[in-house]
Amino acid sequence: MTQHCTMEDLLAVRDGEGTAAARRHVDECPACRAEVDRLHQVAAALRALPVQRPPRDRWPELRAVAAGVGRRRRRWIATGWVSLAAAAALAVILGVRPGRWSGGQMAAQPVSLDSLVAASQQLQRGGASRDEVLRLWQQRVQLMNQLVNVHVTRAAYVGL
Amino acid sequence: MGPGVLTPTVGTVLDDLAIQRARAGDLDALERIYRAYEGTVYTLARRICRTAEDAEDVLQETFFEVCRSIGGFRGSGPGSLTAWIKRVASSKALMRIRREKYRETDELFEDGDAVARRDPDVALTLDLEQALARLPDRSRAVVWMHDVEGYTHEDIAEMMGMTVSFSKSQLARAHARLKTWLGEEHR
Repeated sequence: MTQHCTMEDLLAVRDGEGTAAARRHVDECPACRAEVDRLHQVAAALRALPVQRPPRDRWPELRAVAAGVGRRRRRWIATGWVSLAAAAALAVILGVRPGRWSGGQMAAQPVSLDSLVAASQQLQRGGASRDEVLRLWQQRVQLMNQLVNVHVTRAAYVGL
Repeated sequence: MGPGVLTPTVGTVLDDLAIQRARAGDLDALERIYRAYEGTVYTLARRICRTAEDAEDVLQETFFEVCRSIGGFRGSGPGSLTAWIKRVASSKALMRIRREKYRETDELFEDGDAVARRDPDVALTLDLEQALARLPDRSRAVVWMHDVEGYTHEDIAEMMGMTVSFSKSQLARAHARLKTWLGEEHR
């Protein structure tokens, strides 16, 4: 870099972010080095400017707002607990218990293994008409589905 | 160097307990936070905004926001609280200069030496505070946020809704003007 650095380059060098070429130039050029030093001094002088104070106290107005926020927050928390307690009480009244509800839908009603075995035995005996066999197979599949649902629900709620 | 490291002072020492109490809505703890940061926030706002009234409004808006949102503040320790409060204050101050009517004036004179045209006597040597106040709003905001508050050009660009190049060029222009106005004072 034969020309002097631009102000943007000098600021980047001051902030430790300049390109290699700009940094090299600043190292070699007394004028640009002096300019980087000057920019450091300006930044230091800016930071040394006095802290200013607001002409009047704003806390009384802010306090009123903060008190309002606190009241609303406490009301929300209280409302949350009341809602939770109400939901729990409703659940007790309705007799909701694990196994009866699954994903917002009624789970399968408990199914008896005896019905499944009876349907299977009827199929194995043979001699039934085609329509009868079809009906028995449908019943068997339905019963097996219900049995699976019951086990899934129990596993989900009580870890069995 | 991160935001908050360079700035003036936090007058009152705040501990984690005070911050926790403030989060829970304790008014005394909130007042301690206000007292600790009012100077810092007002100074930042006063340097970025053009008038003292705007700076006061920024101070109030900042602490409204702090009171409303401190319950959700998840940082720990006064350092992160400082950074958070300054970020809120910077955003409020930038929003104010963005929406103020004098933005148009800024843009009109962006290319030339705006202040010199408005005030023919600027060739005289100014002190730093006067020179800073005479910069166009956005240039002044960039100088303060970068050189004093320690924000990166990326942070500034994000907060101003502009590009990184914009932030860099505003800083360079501002320093070129300051150099002229300050004359030999800082050489």
